[in-house]
Amino acid sequence: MIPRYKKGWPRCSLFFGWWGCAMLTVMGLPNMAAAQSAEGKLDFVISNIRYALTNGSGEAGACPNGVSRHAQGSPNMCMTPQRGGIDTNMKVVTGNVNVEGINLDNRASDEDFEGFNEVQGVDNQFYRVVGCTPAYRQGGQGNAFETEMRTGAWGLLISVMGVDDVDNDDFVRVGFYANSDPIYLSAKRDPLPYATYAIHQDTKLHAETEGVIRDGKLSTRPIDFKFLSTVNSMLVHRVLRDARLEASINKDGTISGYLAGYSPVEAVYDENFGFRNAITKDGSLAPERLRSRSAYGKSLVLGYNCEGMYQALWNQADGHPDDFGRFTSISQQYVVKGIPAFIVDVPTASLNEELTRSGELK
Amino acid sequence: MKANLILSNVLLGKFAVLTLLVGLVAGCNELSKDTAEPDPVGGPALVRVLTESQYRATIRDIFGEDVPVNGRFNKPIRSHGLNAVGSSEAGFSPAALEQYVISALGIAEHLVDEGRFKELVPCDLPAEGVANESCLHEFVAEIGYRLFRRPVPNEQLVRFVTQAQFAQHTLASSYAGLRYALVSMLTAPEFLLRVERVEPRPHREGLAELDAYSKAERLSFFLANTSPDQALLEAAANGDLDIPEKLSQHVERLLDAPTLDAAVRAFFSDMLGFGAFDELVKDLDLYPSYNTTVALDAQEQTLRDIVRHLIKQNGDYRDLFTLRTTELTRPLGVVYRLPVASRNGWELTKFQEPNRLGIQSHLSFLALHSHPGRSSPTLRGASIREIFLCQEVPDPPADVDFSAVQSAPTDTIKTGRDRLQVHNNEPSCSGCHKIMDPPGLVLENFDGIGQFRQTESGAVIDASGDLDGVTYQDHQGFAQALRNHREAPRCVVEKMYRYAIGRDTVWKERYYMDYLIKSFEEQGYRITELMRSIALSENFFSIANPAVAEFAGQEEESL
Repeated sequence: MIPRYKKGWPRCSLFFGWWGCAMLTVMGLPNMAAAQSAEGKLDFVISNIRYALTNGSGEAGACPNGVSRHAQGSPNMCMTPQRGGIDTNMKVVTGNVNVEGINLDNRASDEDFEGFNEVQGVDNQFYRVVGCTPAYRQGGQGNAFETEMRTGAWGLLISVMGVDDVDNDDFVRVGFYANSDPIYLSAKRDPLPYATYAIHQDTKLHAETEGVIRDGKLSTRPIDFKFLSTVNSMLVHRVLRDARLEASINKDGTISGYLAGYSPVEAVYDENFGFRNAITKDGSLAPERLRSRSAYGKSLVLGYNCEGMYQALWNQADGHPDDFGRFTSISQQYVVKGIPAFIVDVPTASLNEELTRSGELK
Repeated sequence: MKANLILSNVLLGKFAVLTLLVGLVAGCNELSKDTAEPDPVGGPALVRVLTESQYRATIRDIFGEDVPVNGRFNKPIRSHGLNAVGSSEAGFSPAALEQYVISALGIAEHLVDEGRFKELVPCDLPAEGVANESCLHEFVAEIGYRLFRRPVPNEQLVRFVTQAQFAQHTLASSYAGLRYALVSMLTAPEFLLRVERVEPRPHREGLAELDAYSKAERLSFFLANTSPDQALLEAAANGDLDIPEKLSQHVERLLDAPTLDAAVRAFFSDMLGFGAFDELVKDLDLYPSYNTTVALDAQEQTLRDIVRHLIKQNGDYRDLFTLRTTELTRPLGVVYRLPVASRNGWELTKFQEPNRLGIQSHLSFLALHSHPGRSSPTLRGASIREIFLCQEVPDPPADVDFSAVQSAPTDTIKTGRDRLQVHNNEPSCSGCHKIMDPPGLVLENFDGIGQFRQTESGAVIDASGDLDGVTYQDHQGFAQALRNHREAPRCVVEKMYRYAIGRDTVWKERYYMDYLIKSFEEQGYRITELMRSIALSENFFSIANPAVAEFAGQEEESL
């Protein structure tokens, strides 16, 4: 049995204070150099994003009990996974492996992973859930959700404000915003720096917090926020609670690191596997057939059962216990890279507002 | 010989040198008494090919904005720094003619499909069956009048009507008849060529002038970049264009019209050589932000700035070289590294980088005069000289060794300046490079597509230099030197006049050039004033007599 602790920033802050936690996180990390700074504001568009998992060598010992599989002929339980029986086809990571990510609660417990570069206490229970599902191992399709970001279907913007010194600054504000513009790509489909993006007009998709920069590494205070992604033309919300950004501000003007937090179990199931609350572009609930078949189709292709994934997520949850001590969220980490951009706040009609050269909307 | 001329041009300017020599030899100073327009000189009457923009504008004006022009246009010939001058040296290849036929068929088809013929035909037109002869006659006469920019001669009129009748009888459709008549007119030389016709000039011995319709044509293409409108054609028919007061009214009307923007855009697009963008390629590995949208927007950016500054704000032409205000789209913002809040279309903004100012620092100039994979101080320097200062730079010698400028960076040769220093050790190269390099090296702070940079291969770029005696440390200083260069306004005057008349200036027109330049200066270097001065001058419509008499006779015969 894996021991559980209440995770997250609040416990850390109890002992060290908010900034103490941030300092503990950045101590011992390599020296990162400055990026460009214009009028104290550094804007980035996320150009690369994927789940923090392990590497190829780590996978070898991650799943001593075998890997998950989709049970042929199993019923579609994706809309009602709570009604499914125990899924014996679902396997989770039990091996001792190194995993990407950061220490979210500044503790190193038994269930935590050892990270790379000697980082201890990495909280990444989402990896524990999906790490034995083939599609989430190296090169698997489960970790390719960035593709739709590259098509312009969704995007994420980060703004670091009030920067006096990109190497060391005791107080900066950091904004996370859903992007309402398609990411700007080269002819070779590589994201281009210095493009302008408008933040999404839905303020529920905005979040701002405070942060510090130490030796070129940005650490933010925890904050709840959500951003959008898409699946089969439907929009799903990716929710993170007590989310933190730990990222290096690089010499070439980019930012790279981890965006990590705790995702509510029901939300993480919906955004990744069940799509029960997926919506269309106009905000209405997507057709049931589309949601249900997309979820079941994905389980078929990626090799798991919805009910098994749902059960595993609850079993491995490690954050935000309810009044009865049941953990309601699971630590989840993204590896992100951002390139310089200009973020503006201007009215926009829709996520994929039709663009024309004439300046007039068609 | 040519090299000597270049040096002279650089120091004093072509016409200044010539004027000085003439003044010394003749013992008189014509420039001192040039408050009035010098006597007209004139050149030969010309036959000029309609440019693509003129063709499109004419079709738009006569048939409507939505009428497609599907054919591809021949690459224009550039002569004396202008396609407008080359248009009088161009001809038609069979392939080009095919494209005009494609365009004509597309236009006619569109008018039939959209039922637009009914609007164009001044009589009842049965959808099936045949139209009567008078109806066809009226259609050809009316549309032909606009397309040919003068009344259609009776002989041609009959020919077009006969063609239309044959087609409508054969195909049992009046539309078919009109379609074939229209295609015939749209592929006729009288439409595709601007054939200037002359008539004797009273009170000016040895001089002729354009006839009324040719005057209307020259005026309209100069001030509106399109065929003469109905009012101008009527003025030509009435003889109003021979009366100075009435001519002035039409000039004012055209200068106040929205079409002036198109005329100014056409001139500067020609002067800046934007036609070369059609063949411009960039290495996408080195310049991933360059694409066709950026190329189109870059040209539009410069033209917008020019129109806004020169027409909307009636600004000083010379300030184009120090202008910081500009308009950008989001794709351009990526290259200029500036935010563009407007999601679609254009946004007025200012360059933030201190060394980004003036149209010579626009992508449209910097990218166009660079190699696919690197910047080129030589190309840029030569272009500054030729485009903005009208100073000729000769082609490189046939056996020039480019290895030094094309080699990869080494420990000692890192920047464009370093490479050119090695290259310039060749005596056959150094002469021209002394002229080209300074205005080119100052633009080395911009890479092969115009993105700002401070270093190249790790070495800090030295942008200092001097422009014909004025030293500068960076592009800000250079922009000011270019703005204040005495040849800059002189050059745009010469080019504007050449553009208007479609030929290079002749020796005897030097006094008229000086007169225009002085007027331009007195009028605060306002481009609309320059256009007015040209359009209202006697020189504008004058044709040199000896050439005219022979040419006019041949022209009438050939037509």
